[in-house]
Amino acid sequence: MTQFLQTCLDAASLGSIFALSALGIGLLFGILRLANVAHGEFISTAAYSLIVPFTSVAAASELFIGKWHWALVIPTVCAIVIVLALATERFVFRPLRSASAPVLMMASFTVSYILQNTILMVYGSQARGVNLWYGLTRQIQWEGLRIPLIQIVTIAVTAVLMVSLSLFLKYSRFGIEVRAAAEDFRMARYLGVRANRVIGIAFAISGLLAAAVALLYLPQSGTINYAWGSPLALYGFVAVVVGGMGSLPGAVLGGFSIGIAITMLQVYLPPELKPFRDAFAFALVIVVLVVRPNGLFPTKHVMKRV
Amino acid sequence: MRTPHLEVTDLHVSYGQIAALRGVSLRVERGETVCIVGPNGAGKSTLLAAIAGGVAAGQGAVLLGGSPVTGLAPEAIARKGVSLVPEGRQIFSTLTVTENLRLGGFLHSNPGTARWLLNDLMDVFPSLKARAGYPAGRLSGGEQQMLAIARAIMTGPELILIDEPSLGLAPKIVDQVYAILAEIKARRGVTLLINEQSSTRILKHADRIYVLRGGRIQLEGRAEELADGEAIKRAYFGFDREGA
Ligand SMILES: Nc1ncnc2c1ncn2[C@@H]1O[C@H](COP(=O)(O)OP(=O)(O)O)[C@@H](O)[C@H]1O
Ligand SMILES: [Mg+2]
Repeated sequence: MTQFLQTCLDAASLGSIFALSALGIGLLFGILRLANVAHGEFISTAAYSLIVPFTSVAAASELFIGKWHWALVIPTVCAIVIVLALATERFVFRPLRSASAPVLMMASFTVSYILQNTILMVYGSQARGVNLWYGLTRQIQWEGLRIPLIQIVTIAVTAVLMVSLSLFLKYSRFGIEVRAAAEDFRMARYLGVRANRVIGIAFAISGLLAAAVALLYLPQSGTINYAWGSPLALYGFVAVVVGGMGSLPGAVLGGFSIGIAITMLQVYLPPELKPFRDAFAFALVIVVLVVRPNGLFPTKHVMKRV
Repeated sequence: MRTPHLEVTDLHVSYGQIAALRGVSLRVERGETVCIVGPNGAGKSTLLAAIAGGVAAGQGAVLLGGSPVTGLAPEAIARKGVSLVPEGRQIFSTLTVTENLRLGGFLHSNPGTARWLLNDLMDVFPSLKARAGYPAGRLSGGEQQMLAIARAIMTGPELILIDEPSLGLAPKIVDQVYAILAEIKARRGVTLLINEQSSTRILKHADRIYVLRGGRIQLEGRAEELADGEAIKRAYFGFDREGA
């Protein structure tokens, strides 16, 4: 029983990370039909901004922003990634606003590639140890459970972010504009909704969510390399597809489903098959998509691009 | 001559190889109700979309009150007092009725204007008031058409473009839609430009009529001059069918 509860907690915490990643990706997909591959690099950038650039590899990297008080680290990292997200929108995706979905996809691959290479140039290719918020890796003993503090923080922060995001989308003016734009962007513009502003807000939120993923996952992972964010974005993409393209609640549920599947496979697969955990996870994804091609939680309406 | 509310000169629009409009010119005076009649594929929807900034013109100009708006974004043209009720209503089905309406009111710099309009519209459209919190996708076709019209009015337009308001609706509901349009016109003094596929009903409501076919204006006239429908029929089907 204790073992099972422990597994559930692991699943919820990993699922939170994937759900946040999926939200950032799903938001842009819903509005722009943009599958933003560069989301992984948004996450990596957040992590790398914590350490000192242009240094050789030491056992543990020297912290830069990461040295500061957490109340300063969080807004600074968020601001960096938001600016990066807004810049990619302004200089890459806005000029391509009327381009087809495959062209947008290629453009986001290019952005991803450029950002990865920039990280390589500035921080080198070797993996870097980052001791962010070491205290959070402490474990709390409770009723026989050993709960790492970071898991509690991850689940709590994710819950807060999701509730705030849904309140924002439900009640604020921008939220109504964003939801309308996701359903029918052209019609929203006919009613005076400013395309640039809605898209800018969506990119900013996407950047904020990428920063949250990085800050929550880094204390657990401890080591980063130039491709660190890619798998997190990949699972986010899979979550969006599994959840049903374009539905934000679907993206969240998809993220948790994948977190649960991976954690369960990790625990219950026979030891000799454990190295192939992700292959099993993706096989499961394919089974889901064969059985339910529109995802687990599809939306009813068909979306249109700008 | 007075400056017309809307003037379109030699407008050309293409979708890739397909030429949808091949040099359309028309003018609409302030406060007029003008109808564009034409068969399916004539270019009616394209014309309204081009006026509202939704599709780019390859050639020609759109002028509002004498100043060109060609090439402006739809959100900018909306701020110049033009509102489109598109073909098939295009209501936001996942948003509630109230949210659909509020969305139309966001462009007002004074939030009081939007609140006042919303309250006023709820009186004009009691069926929408009764369903204010419903997802708009759950409304009937007629109610959705009313919502699309009400939403267009929320932007505070001086010119309303309405694309086939009777499409897919029962004749009784169409009567209601036109009654509402007449009431709005009386209350707000707006200019109306309406697309329809059939001229039978519109002859009663329009001041003037244009017949559009093959991306060109085939005929223009005052409704009373065209009341017998013969000239419209010839223009609508093409002169080669004359006498058939
Ligand atoms: N999005 C589009 N892409 C390509 N062709 C289009 C598009 N919309 C309309 N057309 C073509 O343009 C012409 C005019 O269409 P439309 O303006 O919808 O006419 P109407 O509203 O009078 O039925 C038709 O030949 C139609 O097939
Ligand atoms: Mg049409």
